[in-house]
Parts: sequence; C-alpha cells; structure tokens
Amino acid sequence: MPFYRLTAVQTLFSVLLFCGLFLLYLSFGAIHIPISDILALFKAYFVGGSELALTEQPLASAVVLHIRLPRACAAILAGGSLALAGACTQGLFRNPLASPDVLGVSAGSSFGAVLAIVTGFSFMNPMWLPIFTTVGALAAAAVIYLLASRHASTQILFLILTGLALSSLLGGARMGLLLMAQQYEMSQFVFWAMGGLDGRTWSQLMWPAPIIVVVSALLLRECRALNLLALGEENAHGMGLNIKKTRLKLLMFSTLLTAMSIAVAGPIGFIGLMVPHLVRLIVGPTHEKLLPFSALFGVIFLLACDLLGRWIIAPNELKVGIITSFIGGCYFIALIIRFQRKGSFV
Amino acid sequence: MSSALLIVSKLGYNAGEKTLLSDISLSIQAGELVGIIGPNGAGKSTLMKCLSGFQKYNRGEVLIKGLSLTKLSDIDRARDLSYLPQYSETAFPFSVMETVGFGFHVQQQTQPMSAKAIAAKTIEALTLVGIDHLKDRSITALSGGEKQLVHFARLLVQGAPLMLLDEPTASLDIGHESQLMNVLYQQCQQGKSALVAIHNLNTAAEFCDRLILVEQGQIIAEGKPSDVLTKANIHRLYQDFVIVSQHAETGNTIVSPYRK
Repeated sequence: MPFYRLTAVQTLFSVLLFCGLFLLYLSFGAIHIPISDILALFKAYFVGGSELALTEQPLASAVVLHIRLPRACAAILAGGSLALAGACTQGLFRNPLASPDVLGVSAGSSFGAVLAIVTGFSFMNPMWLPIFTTVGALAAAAVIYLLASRHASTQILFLILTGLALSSLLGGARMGLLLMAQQYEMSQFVFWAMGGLDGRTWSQLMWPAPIIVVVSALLLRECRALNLLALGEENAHGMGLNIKKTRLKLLMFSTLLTAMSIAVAGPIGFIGLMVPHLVRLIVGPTHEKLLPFSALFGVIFLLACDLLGRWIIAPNELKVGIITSFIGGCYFIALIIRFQRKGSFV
Repeated sequence: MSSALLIVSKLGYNAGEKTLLSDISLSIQAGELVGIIGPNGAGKSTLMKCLSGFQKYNRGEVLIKGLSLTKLSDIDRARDLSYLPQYSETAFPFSVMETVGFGFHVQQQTQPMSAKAIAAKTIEALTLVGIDHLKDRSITALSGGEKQLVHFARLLVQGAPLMLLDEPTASLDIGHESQLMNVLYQQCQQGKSALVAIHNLNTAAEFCDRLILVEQGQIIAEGKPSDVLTKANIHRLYQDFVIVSQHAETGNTIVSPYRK
C-alpha cells in the first residue's frame, strides 16, 4: 500500500476513534447521558448559546457543559501536550526512549507543589497550585540549561547530568519540606502527585490552554529541524541547521508543554515516553507524521485511561495517573522483552 | 588565488592547552579534488570540523567564495559547503529515500520542491552511487559501508559547489571505495570541488589532483601526489612498516604494508 494512502487511512481511523471516545467520555458516568442528547445539546448550544441549551437539555447541559466537558478538555490538553513534549524530547536527545522528565521539569514542579501546599497558598485559592508548579518547572529547566550551556558546547550529556543533579537536590528539599509539613498537607501533596483530572473547571484551563495551543503550533513547524537533527549534529550542521538555536527552541517547547500539562493534570507518567514511541512504530519516524499523530494519540490515550479510571471501580474513581503508570510500566516491560528478542528499541 | 572557492589562512585550533592545529594555510580552486593525508591523530578530522564551521577555530581565517566562514548564516554556508563527517549514527529508522531527501533542505529554503521532484532526484543520486536497490530499506538496518554511501548520496543532492568529506571510504570495500571516488572525481570534472580526508594512500594518489600531508596539526607537504608521496615523507610518517614502489602500468606511487 502506498505510504500516503496508509496515512489517510490512519488519519481517518484515529479521528473516528477520537470522536467515538470523546462522545462515550461525555456520556458515561454516575448520571448516564445518551449520546443523542449530547449531540442535541451541542446543536442547541451552537444555534442558540447556553440559554437555549439549558432550556432544551437541562440535565445534559448541567452535567456535560459544566462537569464532563471541562474534564474532557483537560484530558485533551494534557494528553496532547505530554505526547508532543515526548516526541520533541526524543528527537532532541536523539533517543527513542527519552522523556521530558529528563529536563528536570517534574522535579521542579513537584517542589513547587510542596511549596504551595506547606506555605498555605493552595488553601487560599486552588489556582495557586498550578501557578507554583509551573514556576517551579520553568525555573528548574532554566537553571539546568544555564548550567549545562555555560561553555560553548551545550552538550546533551551535560543537560542530562545537570538534570539528574538538580532533580536530586530538589527531591531532597521536597522531602525536607514534607518532613515539616502537617499530616493533611502531606496527604494533599500525595493526592496531587498521583496526577488526576477530577474536578477540573473551565477557569483552571483558561491560562494553560492558549500556551499549549501556541507552543504546539510552533513545535509543528520544527518537523524538518527534528528530522535533520536525527541524522546527527554534524550532519545537521552540514545541511544548514543552526544546532544551538534549534536545540534551545526545542528545549523551551518541550519544557513549556510539560509544565502546562502538569498545571492542568498534575504529574502524569509515561505518556511522553510511550505514546511517541508507539506512534513511531505505526506511522514511521519522520516528524511531519510523528508529531501530529503523537498529539492525537496522546489525547486518545489519556481520554481512554481516564474513562477507564472512572469506570473500573464505579461509582468511585481511580486517578488517571495510576492507570497511565500501570499501563506504562507494562509497556516498558514489553519493550524490554522485545529488545531482547529483536535487538532494537525502535 | 582570488578566484579560489576556499581560502584558509593561518588557521589554528586549541583544545584547552593542547594545540591541535597550527598555521594551516591552503586554498581550493573550482574543479579540484584535493586529498588530506596523514597518520592517525594528525588532525585531519579536526581540520575538517573547523573548515565545516562545526568546530570554532581560535586563530586565522576561512573564506568561502571570499566571505568569512564565521560571518555566514548556517543556510548560506550550507549552500556553498557540504560536509560528510566520519561517523554518522541515525537516531531513528528513516528509509534510505527519506534520509537522502533531507539533503534538499537548503534548496527548499529558496524554492519549494514537490515530493515527486525530490523522489526523482533522490533515485538519480542513489543510482549514481550504485545503491538504488537499497531505497526502501531502513537506514538503521544497513551495514556501516552502506550507511556511508547513503550519506554520500545525501551530500550529492545538497548540491554545494564545495564538498568536505572526512574519510568517506573508511568502511567501504575496495569496489565501493573506487565507485565513490569515481563519482567524486566526475563531480569535480563537472566543476565541483572536494576536500577529502583519506587514509588509503593509493586511492589518494589515483584520484586526487593535489595532496596535503598533515602531521601533528601542521601541513608538512603539499602538491601533486607524486611530489608528496615520496619515500622520505612516507618513511617519516609510517616508519618502515610500509614499502613504496611504482605501478608498472600507470607509473603511480604504490604504498603497501610490509612484513618485516
């Protein structure tokens, strides 16, 4: 089958999968809303706004528009940005198993979260928590980059080592803070650290959403740079790529996307590593295909995991971070077995 | 001299305290195929890295078509100068077609190219190098020599008038080595120029218009192959582990290993 036709089939399949999953996500829950009602609700909303939607579909309007839709949007934003950040990091580090965690973003955001909790900011207003995690993540990434690129050679190895060192430092500081924290503060941190989408409101998505959309769009313009970089830095340089500028740009993009996804959903493991890796096996390694499909599958994967978490012990819920960690761990073990058999991770 | 494609004057490079290159001056005219020879660790690869702009040099000046290498933008430099490093490890399993197609990056900056045009020109380059049968294979699954040939084809499609190649034949069998050098020779006959770091002195003598002999970061001889590959020079560099003779038919210098 020619490649372009394969891509058309893959695109159609993925989009249909997404639409089906999205409707199922909105329909399923403690109060079942039939899919026909959801479609009628959307129609009413687009024709006559929220007032018409409320009069025509009062129940669906309350449940879908105010509870499930913001949660679905949070899943879409976090899943898409994590998978894109992962694809970008793997391209940047020229390693099919790299993950944005390497950049120290996770350690920075966790430290920010603990700080917000023990200083009491997160009790004054829940909005402070994502702000603290974002600032922590970006500050950690900035320190790592500045330390690693103090000399002209901004070598990838230095980035990884500095990331490890700073993660260790921040991890120690976080433990120290937690030791002094109250019992309820500790449990609030543990709860946050699981990563979840429950209780998301529109106002919580207002500021991360535009950043995610803009950075994703900018990242999608770097497909060719990522392709050239994959051939090795000397080759990419020979073909006219500015290595230093490109690397800084890609680092910024993946850091911002990861930080925003943490602001939306807390730390959710393994999507950034697993989704791009899996997508590369399906659509191939060229980034013109890899990036958009990774974003789409990141969205599908997180929606599916959260749906599973809401369904598996209904009427209670499992945090989505637990589900992704579990699936991610299994995927990783399968990869190791595959490597032992075939001798290749890609 | 003013029409030279590449002029290097008094180039020097230090890594920390250690001087790796000093006082390197050379020039390359359009249509020339110039070989850089010298023992392991002489500084051939370092010189290639400096000339390609990948490694910043400490002293001296490199001019490409009269413009300073350090002042050219990356795209402008790549338009006039292409570079094939000694080792290329591709991170992801691109197909051979895709890998060679990335070589059109510079040309695509000025005018968009259709996928069809790229594919046609890619096949043309693969055929020229003799590896069109590999076109649908994944680059990561190829042997070291095959990978090298794919990257050579990518260098050809980039179309720069000056090509820097760092030991392009190191992992090739003798047939492919000769084929690569023949393609390079033809390119230079058509007006392109190439600077090739090369280990095999016989190949260097056969194909190059001029040889530059480097030892300990300095040029110690330069000129026609027969003037550079003298018994005295070769014994100085390789001690008495090699034997120098004359080819019965071509009259070229032959250097071969020798059992003492």
